[in-house]
Amino acid sequence: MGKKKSVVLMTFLTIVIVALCVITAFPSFRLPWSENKKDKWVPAILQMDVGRDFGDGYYTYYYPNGVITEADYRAEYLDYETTANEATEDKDEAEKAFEDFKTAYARVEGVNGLRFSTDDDAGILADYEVTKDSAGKVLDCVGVISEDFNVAFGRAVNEVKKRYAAKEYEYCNINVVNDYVLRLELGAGEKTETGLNGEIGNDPLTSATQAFTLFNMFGEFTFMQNGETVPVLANDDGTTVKDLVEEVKLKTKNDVTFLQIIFTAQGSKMVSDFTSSGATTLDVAIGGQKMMSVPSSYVSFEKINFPIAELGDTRYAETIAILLSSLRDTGVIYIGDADAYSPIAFSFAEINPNADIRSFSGDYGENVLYWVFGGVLLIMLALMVASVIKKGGFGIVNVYTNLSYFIITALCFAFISAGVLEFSAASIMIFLFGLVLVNVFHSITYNAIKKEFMQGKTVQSAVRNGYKKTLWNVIDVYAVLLLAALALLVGVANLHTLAIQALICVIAAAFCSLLWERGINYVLLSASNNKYKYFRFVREDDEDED
Amino acid sequence: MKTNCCKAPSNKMIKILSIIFTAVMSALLVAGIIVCAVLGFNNSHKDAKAVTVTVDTYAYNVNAQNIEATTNVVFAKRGLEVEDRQFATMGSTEVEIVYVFDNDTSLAVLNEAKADLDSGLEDAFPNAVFSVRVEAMRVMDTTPESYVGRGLIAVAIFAALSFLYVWIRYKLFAALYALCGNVFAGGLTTALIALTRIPVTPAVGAAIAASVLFSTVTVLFFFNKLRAAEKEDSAADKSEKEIVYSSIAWKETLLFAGLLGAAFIVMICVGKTAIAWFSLSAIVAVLAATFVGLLLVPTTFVPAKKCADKLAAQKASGYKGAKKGEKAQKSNDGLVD
Repeated sequence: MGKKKSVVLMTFLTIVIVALCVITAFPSFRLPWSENKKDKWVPAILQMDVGRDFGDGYYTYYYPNGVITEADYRAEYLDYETTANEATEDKDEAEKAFEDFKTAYARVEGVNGLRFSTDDDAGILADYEVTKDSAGKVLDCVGVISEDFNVAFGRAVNEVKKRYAAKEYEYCNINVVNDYVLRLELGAGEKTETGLNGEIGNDPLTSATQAFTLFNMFGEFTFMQNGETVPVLANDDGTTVKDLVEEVKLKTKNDVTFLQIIFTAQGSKMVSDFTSSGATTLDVAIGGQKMMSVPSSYVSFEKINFPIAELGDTRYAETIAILLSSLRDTGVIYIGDADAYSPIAFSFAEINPNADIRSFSGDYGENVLYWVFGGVLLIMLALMVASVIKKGGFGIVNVYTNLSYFIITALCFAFISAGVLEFSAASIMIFLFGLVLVNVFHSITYNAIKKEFMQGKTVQSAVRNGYKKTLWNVIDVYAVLLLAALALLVGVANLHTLAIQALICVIAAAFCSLLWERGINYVLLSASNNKYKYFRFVREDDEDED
Repeated sequence: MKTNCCKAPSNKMIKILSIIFTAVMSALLVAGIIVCAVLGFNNSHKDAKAVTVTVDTYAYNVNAQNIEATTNVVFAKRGLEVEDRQFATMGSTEVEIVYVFDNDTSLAVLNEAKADLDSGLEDAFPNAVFSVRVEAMRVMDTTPESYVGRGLIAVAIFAALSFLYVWIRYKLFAALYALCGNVFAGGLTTALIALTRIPVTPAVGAAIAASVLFSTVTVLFFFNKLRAAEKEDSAADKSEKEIVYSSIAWKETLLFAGLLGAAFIVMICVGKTAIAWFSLSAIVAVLAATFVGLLLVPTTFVPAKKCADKLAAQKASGYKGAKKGEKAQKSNDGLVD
């Protein structure tokens, strides 16, 4: 390539790489021309979906209905007490309400920090004892948890665990707190535009809060038409939704995710009755409350094929599918005998997304992501500077290669999303692995070229032979790493994410080492005035002549 | 005349190093297995006790330092050591501070601390709304059912594919040694993590998986250099041991390990405690891979190379050129007739 052409090409390439580096990593700032003064420039590296390692997390509590914290009990107790003490009119009523409240919730020996409803309809306590003073005022209320409630709680806990496990979260932590409350912790995950009821854009939440609010649902999964349960489920012949529904699954086509509810033969008959009833929607309900309305056009004898999520947002659809599958398989969890006159269904208190979900910063501290990015950029800078100092012009090739690798991987990590990638500590490791490989192979190639040159070959010939002799070494390593990344795709949760990130880094590094570096070297070498100085080569006989 | 500052160790030194390091690494591997069997891993998510303080946002914003100081005084008075602290917001109305204690902490003492906090915070900040609760947290396993199974399948698929690739490129013995080297690297990394009680998180699991990738790189450096050495004219005059030992990829492997190790040390410096643990496990993985690629595989490959060369020689000794073969056949036929 002619020198002029090389200079023009390198200038163009430099401008492009600088521009891409700015897009990738230029620090965030407020846009001065923004009308509302809120719009910000955000570089690509800050647009990555961060995992629990670096990003926010959310946690919440699942309280069984009828169970409250000691703190909440105390707060209500004080309210009733104050009202009773300060009442002038209806003082007797206020005092009676206070006394009734004292016996509404009992503490249980050996269970710390919780109070349990004494109401028989709650089905929690087998028995409770009220202690009164000589004036008849309630001093204490102590109860014993019924074995039926223990069994029902245990079943519910297992079911909640299965639901979250089915989501295959990168990070999910479930604790049983004080024996009868669940504490759930998730990474924030990707923001989704799909609200709780499937509507788009009205109530953007994170996928974490969606899961919290939906996965604590325990109630009967039924179908409804015209506001009433379908006849086949409403009669008392023992038919449940498990007899009507064979499977609940998802299908994605053209960026739309369909919820498919596959019917059994009995389910098909239900659809037949629905069709002839003239109802325009078949409603999916949980615990008697409508969850979603499916227009009749999406209902066939074999299945419901309902477009539940758009824009490729599969997170909401996944959550719904897992919930319905779980409810289909488990049915209603009863406290005690399901065939009792008034069976008591176990349930958790509803979660209010605005009040019951706590948000907290990354495990590693609020600003550690910036520190980590700073550290990575520092490592890259050190590698590039060392390369230029040691290898001269060939080191400048390494600068372009490193920056290109950084740009490709950062943009892929940032913009391959839809629940595929979360940036975590393991991501840093894989990125650094690829970066080090690029630099190591650059050094190996330089040494091979130098060895050829020292044998008396011309620079051009040394470069050609040096690349030729190192080619298969580079291909072998990247080929095996590619196989490893492909094999890891079989894994789930963080292994699957690691596999995708490894694929990106290996392919980017291989491209940079095998093609990009050679191309840039060819262009830069063509533009160089002194090819010896370019490589910082000094032949021994030249030294002797000096 | 320029001298090479990075000279490879002599054959005798290599032998000594390999004996020492193999003995040490094998002992660490065995010790790690025992510790793992007896104590298991140091799981970062474990049962714990906690004191959770909820306060209205306005009061916290105004009195944050004093509130934290008050709680710290109470905990110190009761001899309680906070292992971790988590700060969360509940909408815009309340904040929640979770103080995590070791699971062996007495619930009675925590309840006493709660009582102290209830009265202490109310007295110090009468206009604020507080609530304090004590929690005993029991961890539930939420690993997807298929996690381990599919992880093992992934490992098996990788082992098979890489074995095939290395077999095609470098012959059977090389493939076997590469496979064994990867297994050793993964096992050694796991054992060292169990032994050093590094808190295990999903990221640390990824570091164990990465040790296999790192050892793949170091072992391939060696096999590539060995192949180049075998093709040299001087190879005919050298013993198998000399060829193998001279093919150990010191520069490449130490450069790879050095750069990667330095990068993770930088991560330890810029990150906080938890990322430091993860970076440490990654450094352990690099060390294991370096040992496998520099010492374990090359020094144990010598007998395999002798065997492979012997088999190759036997195969070659029965070979006759096409014309010679025809001639031999004709003279044999003539003799028979």
